[in-house]
Amino acid sequence: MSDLREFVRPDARPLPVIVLADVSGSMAGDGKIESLNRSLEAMIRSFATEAEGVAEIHVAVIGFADRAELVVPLQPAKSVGLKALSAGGRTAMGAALSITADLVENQEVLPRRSYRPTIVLVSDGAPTDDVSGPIARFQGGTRASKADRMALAIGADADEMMLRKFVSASDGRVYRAQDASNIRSFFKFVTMSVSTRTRSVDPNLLPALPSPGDLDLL
Amino acid sequence: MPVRGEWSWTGSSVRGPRHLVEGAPNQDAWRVCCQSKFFVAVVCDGLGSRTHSGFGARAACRAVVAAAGSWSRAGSSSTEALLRLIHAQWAVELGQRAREECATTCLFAMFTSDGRGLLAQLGDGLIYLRSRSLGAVSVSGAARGEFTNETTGLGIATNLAAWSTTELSTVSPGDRVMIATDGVSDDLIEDRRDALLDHAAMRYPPGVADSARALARDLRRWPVARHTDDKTILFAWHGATGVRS
Repeated sequence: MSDLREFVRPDARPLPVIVLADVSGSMAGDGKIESLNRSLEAMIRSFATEAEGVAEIHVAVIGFADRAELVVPLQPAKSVGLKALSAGGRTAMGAALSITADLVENQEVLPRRSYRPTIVLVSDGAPTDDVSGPIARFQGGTRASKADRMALAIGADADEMMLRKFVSASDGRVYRAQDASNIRSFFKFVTMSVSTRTRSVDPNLLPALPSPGDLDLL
Repeated sequence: MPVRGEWSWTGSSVRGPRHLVEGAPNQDAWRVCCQSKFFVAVVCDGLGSRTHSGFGARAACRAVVAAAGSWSRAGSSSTEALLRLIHAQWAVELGQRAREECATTCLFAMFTSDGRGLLAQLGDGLIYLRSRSLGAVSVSGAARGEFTNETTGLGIATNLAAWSTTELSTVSPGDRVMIATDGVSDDLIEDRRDALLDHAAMRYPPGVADSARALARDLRRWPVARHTDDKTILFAWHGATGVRS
């Protein structure tokens, strides 16, 4: 064993994945919240068993309805015990984005030895609070602007323009799920994308993966 | 007062697990030069994605030493002049190779015979000085990325603003400095840096034949899960290390 072990952090460098999940009242219909819960659980389970990569995948989940809440603080995927999210209330997406930007900018929570985080925003509606300020943080923030971003618009009522603003200034894309069954496909795609990064020479680089066939690329 | 004889050092550089598996060479480099007018220690980390980054790192070490020599002979030139010299000398060292294919970080500590010092950093990594008179001194600012493996360097930076520098008005016996590539520095516990300097003085004392080998051995046994990078660290002491062996 190295004589240097008392001077270094023994844990692998983190690759953070932060999920912003819309749990407003509209998500209660058509099996959307159930599909979201199953998809999140499968993704986290897959990350927890990802043993080959150079990074350890860490996960945080922020739910937003009448208010935004850090449901799962950022931690190794293998430590996450996710309780099923329930839907009800309005769509405080701006508050969720603020929590996320705070988290990414905080070097105590997300240390500099982390790889660039991936932020995933899933919504089926329009925000009911102010999002312009929080969105600006993702376009100009020191660290938030460097985060990789992906978004899923569920159904016809999702605010596509706002989601596009969220991913702008990154290489991220906005996908559309026509219904609840497509939510799983999106999270499989996120899982594959992140897992590929952890196994690559440089996990900061986004892999070039084909878009899921059953999702529309907006 | 001549600098030669005032400074002593121990350094090592080892290939990381990825390059070992790939059969690729070490892309880090380090170099020390101690002359009558100056002491300079430099550590460089060639960017893994570039074709000639290992060559670029070694060329950068040579460039810093050559520039330090010219700069110190000229007398009271500015830090900016030294950095410009390094860029120019590095370009000369590269010959016909494209700069972007030789990109490398560049970190150095320089101490001159008039008792002044300079810490300078372009890209990821760490320079840390524990000074008896100034306390803990490190270089921070634009030179480092916000996340790991996000860096700038020679061959990337287009102006001197990308460098971070700290000028030291005084250097005293007992001052200690360490310079490391990010393969080491990203895993170091920040508030254990002084303890590491103490440990290095005991475990890897300068002037002892086995010190560099012991340091290399400990770097090869890097106690961090899933680490892949090449690793380089250099310790330098002004005067006695302060540790009785």
